[in-house]
Amino acid sequence: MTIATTLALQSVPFAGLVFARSKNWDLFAVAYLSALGLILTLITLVGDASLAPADFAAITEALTTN
Amino acid sequence: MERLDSPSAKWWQLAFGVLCMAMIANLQYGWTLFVDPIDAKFHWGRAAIQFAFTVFVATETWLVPVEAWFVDRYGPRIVVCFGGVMIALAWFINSRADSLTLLYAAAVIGGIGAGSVYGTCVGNALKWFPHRRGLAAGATAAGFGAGAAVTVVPIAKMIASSGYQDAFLFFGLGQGAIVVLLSFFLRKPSLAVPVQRKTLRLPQTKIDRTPREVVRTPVFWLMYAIFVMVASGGLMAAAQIAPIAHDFKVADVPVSLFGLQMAALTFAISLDRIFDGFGRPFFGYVSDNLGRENTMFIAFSIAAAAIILLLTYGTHPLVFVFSTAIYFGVFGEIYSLFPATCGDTFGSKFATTNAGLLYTAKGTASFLVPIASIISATYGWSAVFAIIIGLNVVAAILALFVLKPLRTRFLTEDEGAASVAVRPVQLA
Repeated sequence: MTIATTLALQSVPFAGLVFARSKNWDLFAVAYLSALGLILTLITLVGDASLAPADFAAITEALTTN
Repeated sequence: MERLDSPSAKWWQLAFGVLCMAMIANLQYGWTLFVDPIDAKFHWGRAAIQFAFTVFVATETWLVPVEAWFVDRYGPRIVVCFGGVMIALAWFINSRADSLTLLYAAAVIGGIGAGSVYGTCVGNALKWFPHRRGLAAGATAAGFGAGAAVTVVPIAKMIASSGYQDAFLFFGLGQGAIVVLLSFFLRKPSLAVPVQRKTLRLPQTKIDRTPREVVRTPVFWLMYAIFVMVASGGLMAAAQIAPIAHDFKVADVPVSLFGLQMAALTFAISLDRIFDGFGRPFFGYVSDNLGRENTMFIAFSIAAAAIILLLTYGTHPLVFVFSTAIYFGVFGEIYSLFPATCGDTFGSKFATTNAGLLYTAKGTASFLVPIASIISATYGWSAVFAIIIGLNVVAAILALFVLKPLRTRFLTEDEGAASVAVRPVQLA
């Protein structure tokens, strides 16, 4: 999980380089943020030291807030 | 001459937004009704079926900025229409799903659809009500809970009488069709609505900032950090309510309130949802009059006090019920206050995308859930609640003593930049 998270976060400076040169900055920024968030969520759920998906689902369901 | 909107137009737009939110509520609140029937038919196990819900919440949260970007560029109509089609498709697939893969695919599609509708409706409310953003965003967010309250019982009855597949199909197509129909009435204001009322408690920017500019400002990241703190506290608290009730031996104690009698834990959970729902427009309205940071300070302080009350006197069933209700009543306001503050600070033109970026703080907060579980398993729920108290106290202090002056300075610089921009050029 640590390695996977580190690899995912290492994309941040590279994304910064892309943003610095890109004309469609806004679109790339929101797409990148969304992709990073989904990947980190996946790592949290299925990584080796993760919370069991059922527990995570139960917690998110118990919260029942948007 | 540019067309002006009628005075009633904004209220119609708000009503349409609230109705759309009510139509997507079941994708979140109604899911729990389908889990056991699906398991009874396919025997996949609750954990595997529940994972679909996690997939739904993750895609709904993290894709909002992308969907919001389309709203600011192309308008609310097409995005909400797309969202309506997606939510109908999601539950159609659920009605036919005979494998976990299909269930998870439907969860992704449903998350995209729900996020499209949610982000658009909140953003549209911010644009139409620049001087009442708190109330508008709060009412829109409250529609999410209100919709579930109306349709949960009919869904449960249909599952019992016709089976879960018919319930998925009927409600999925019905809700999707209503959202698609309402989408044709949604639009952004004809003109950028001018701020009608200037108050020192509700400073507003005169510059519309793009997402690119927003993420470069410290004030955005401070709002993001406060949002994460408070949202993670709510996630942790929701997970610990049942364990603490059992440890306090109040879970099954009958409580009589408002003519109803229920076990304390059941009453607490029910009241939590009601207070959460009403808290959003209420604190939104309060913040429109009292100021955003002032209201944040009040709400987060009350949240910390409610948890202290729970830990100190929670062995009394009534105290347990009311302290948790108060906590969730003040917790829900983050979904109205933060979009409103974002709109005030960064303007209306890109309000949907900017609010969508801020909304991902909810997803970031969920990364702290495993940590809370580990702490709870190692040190008990009291340690988790100590963290929740700390998070809310820090958030309250940050809101009043850091965010408020930072935002004031930021908006003062905006005023200066805006006045320079309109000064006529003097030719020699």
